[in-house]
Amino acid sequence: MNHRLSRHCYRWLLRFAPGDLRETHGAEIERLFLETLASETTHRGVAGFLHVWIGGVADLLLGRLRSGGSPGRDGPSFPVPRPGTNLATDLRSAWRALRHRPALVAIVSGTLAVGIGAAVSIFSVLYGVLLQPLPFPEPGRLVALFESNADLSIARQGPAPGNLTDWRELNRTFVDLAAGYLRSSVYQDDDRIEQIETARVTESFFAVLGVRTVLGRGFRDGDDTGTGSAVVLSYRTWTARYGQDPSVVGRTVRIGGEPHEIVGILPADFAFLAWQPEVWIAWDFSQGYTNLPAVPRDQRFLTAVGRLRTGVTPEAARTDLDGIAAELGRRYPATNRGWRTQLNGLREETIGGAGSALAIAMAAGLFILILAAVNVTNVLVARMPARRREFAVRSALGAHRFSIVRQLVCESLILSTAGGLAGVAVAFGLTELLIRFDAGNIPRLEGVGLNWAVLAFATLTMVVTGLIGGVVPNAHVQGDLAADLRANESRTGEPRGSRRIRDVLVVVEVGLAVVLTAGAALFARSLEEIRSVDPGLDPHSLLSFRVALEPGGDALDRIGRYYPTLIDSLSRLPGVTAVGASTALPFDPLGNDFNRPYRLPGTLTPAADAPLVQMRMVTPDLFSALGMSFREGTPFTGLERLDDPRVAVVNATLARSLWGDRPATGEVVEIFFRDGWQPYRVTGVVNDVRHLGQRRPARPEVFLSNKQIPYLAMTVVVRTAGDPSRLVDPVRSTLRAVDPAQPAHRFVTMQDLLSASLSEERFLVVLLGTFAAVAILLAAAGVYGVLSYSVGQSRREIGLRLALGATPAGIRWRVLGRALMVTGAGVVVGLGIHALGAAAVAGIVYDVSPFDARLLAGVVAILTGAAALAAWVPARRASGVQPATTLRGE
Amino acid sequence: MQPNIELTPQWFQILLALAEGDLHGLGVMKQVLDQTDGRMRLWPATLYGSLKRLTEAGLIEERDGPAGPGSDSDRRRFYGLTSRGRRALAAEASRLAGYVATARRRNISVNP
Repeated sequence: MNHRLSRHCYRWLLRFAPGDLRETHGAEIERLFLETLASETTHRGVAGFLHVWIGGVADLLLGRLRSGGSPGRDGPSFPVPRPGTNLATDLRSAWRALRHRPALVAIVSGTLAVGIGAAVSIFSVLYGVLLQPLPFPEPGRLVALFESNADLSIARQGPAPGNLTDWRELNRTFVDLAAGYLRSSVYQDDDRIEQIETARVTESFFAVLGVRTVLGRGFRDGDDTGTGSAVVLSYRTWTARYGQDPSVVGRTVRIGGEPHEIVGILPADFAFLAWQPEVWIAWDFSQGYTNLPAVPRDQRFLTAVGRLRTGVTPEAARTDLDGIAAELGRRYPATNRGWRTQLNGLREETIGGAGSALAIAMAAGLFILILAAVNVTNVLVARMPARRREFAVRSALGAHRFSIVRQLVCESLILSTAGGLAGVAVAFGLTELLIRFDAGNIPRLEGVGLNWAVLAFATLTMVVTGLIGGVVPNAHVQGDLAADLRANESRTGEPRGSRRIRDVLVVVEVGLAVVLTAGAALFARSLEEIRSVDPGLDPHSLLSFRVALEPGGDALDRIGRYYPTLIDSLSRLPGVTAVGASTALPFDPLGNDFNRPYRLPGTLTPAADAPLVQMRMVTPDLFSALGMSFREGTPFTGLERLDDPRVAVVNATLARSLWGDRPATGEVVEIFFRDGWQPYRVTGVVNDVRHLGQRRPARPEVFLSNKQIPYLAMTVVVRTAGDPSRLVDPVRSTLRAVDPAQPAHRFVTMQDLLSASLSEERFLVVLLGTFAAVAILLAAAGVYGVLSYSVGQSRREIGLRLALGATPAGIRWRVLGRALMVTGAGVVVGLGIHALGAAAVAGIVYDVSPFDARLLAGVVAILTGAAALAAWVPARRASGVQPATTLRGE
Repeated sequence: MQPNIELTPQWFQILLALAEGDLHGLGVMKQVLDQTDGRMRLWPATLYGSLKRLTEAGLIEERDGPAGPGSDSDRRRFYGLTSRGRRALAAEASRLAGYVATARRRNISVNP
């Protein structure tokens, strides 16, 4: 390093020395350093050079630490040095500049608190749900497994037990596979009998995920054999039911009447997909069916997960499994032809469709943050012309331009930090609200909270907004400050540079407000459209609940006795007008993916090629209880016997697909179900019910008599004349009276089910609506701020114009005109951004075009109205200027 | 009368260096290095920081250097002891001598 370079470097480092020392002795310090460096380098070569450099740098940096302390042990006898120009000083002087402006601090940090709070709270949900890794070791190797059938346009369906068994046996790409399914069961411990949600999973399940129990053990070989298989409790159940009593491990409980031993407790943070069973039961594929072949290949209902071997890609694993599936298709054409496999990362599977809603919410949150930052910058820019004098004075007294910039950045950072801290507090509350607010099937909400990632994000927002707010106003420190000092204050109008920056900022604000308002309006319209869809039934005054009888030897008899008795007793309750039961209820995710192939008699379509129909086993009163209407024919009688010719009610979609516009009553449809192809005679056609929610079109559905196809688990619906929730207690006592050992669960009104099916849409509407309102307010505040400031600065000019014959109305229109110009530019920018983002929301909204002219016109009208309103006060003030007073006042 | 103050080792060495005559910064640095057998090197910022504070405390003062044509004394500050500095140095030296005497009394061998 040559002498000149050393001098430059050292001179730069000198800025770390205490400021006063640098001012008085800087040149000498530098000279002494360079002399020492030269002499040591001459005498000791590189070693001397390095020694002096290291010592010199340490001297400067440590000297700065020492300079704060008092030098002697009796320090007071020596004056403590005045601190120099450094970060601490900058912060102190920034603080002094702000301390006497509480209103400014309150407005700026309050605005930032709103922006940062909104962005941080949504980020915390986004992080917890989407970004945080799953709580399993090496979660990237976990995949969910499905079967798919391109011929039947089935993208994915849970695998059938028989097929999964073969995959597990024959694959070469997985460490192991596991599978399970959810099922409600009667849980009995001592005298307490309850219906609870259970998961039946293969022994390999916890090992594949890599979960360790907090107490006891997971499943091992032999746990699933026989009736008394082992069970593991969820942490929640262990806490709620047993008060975390460790002695429950080893205890025997009865599930479905059979004894099971509790062998372990799962950790509190364990979560698998959206499953929330209380008890996990070790299960092998051959158990638990009413009357099915041992390990079926055509009952595709499992939820399956596998752990890939190290280094194996999902594509390689899929090729592997597809090879096995093709072989199974050749060996079992009736059930497996055309079926292939489908893999999806467990994380993607867990997140599901929550991604798009959260991404929209995050974008909205960031918009609010930008709006807040822009507004704050605007306020800070507005202060600049007034402060130019202050800076000019400082500059004249020798302050470096850079030190003024530094002070501005420090002021802005103090404000953004205050805003950020308040924002984190806001985010804390807002996140709670977001979690409480039913946002649809957003998974993993239990993992949402303030963690390091969220705090890092909050810090980032603080620093970035602080830097923006500090740097942008600096455009004003440019130019000849001294000239400012010389000029007297009688400048007219606001400086051109300030005006341009502030106008651009308001354009940005209006633009973002347009995007948010358009988004909110779009989702609100979409929700309206969905709500206006006729669901095909009357959801009012309906209470539903689920009963699941236990499988076992005399199951058919028990089904035949229990349900008629229950329905009969419920019908006699006061106020009850109809009672029905079905294996699956509309809008209820439970039991709604039960499909079977169907065809017309006489056609010889093989099952693997036939289209699928949704299956429901129902009592004949279900139709009247739900308020479904018959297009033709009647329900079946409910008096059918098992071996009578089978009867069915079909929905309009199915009837149309088979018979077009011809009457369907009396016709026969063949369904591949249980004993192969069987004929079902149609007794009537019901109008379509939007079974999967109002926004999903109806699919072919068939309703079979539960007398002929008995099922253990049914959802019972009770129609009442009054408030259905009042019915819960009488229904519970009726259930106890019919069979004290048979509880029910999932009590819910049909309105709640319907409403839950719209929860994601509602979440977005409420969120975007709130954000849009905030955005409009911020944008209006921006317009108001700019104009009001500009009018204040231009009083003299306005006075002059009035004196020269301008009318107050003309002045008013000038101000309003500027507001409308800026707003118009903002609207154009906003519509541009909206057009760019439209593709992203087009698939989410229902039956509304993102470019709907009326909707966008409404948005533009709202924004323009708000801007005009915000401009009105400054415009009034401008036209109220008294020329004489203003001009004389100068 | 100046209270009996304890000087930091650096300050003591600077005052000691100046006891022989006025010096500029580089001279102080070299003299201190010399009188401590190379054990104490006062780096530039520390040195001038101390000189500044010693000046503010009235223990030393800036002096005119030996002026002359071609001399760089017009750009270098020289420092010299004030009477107050001389008293402080003497007090500190006696204090240290007292410690040495105590050590001797306790049979610690002290080289002269």
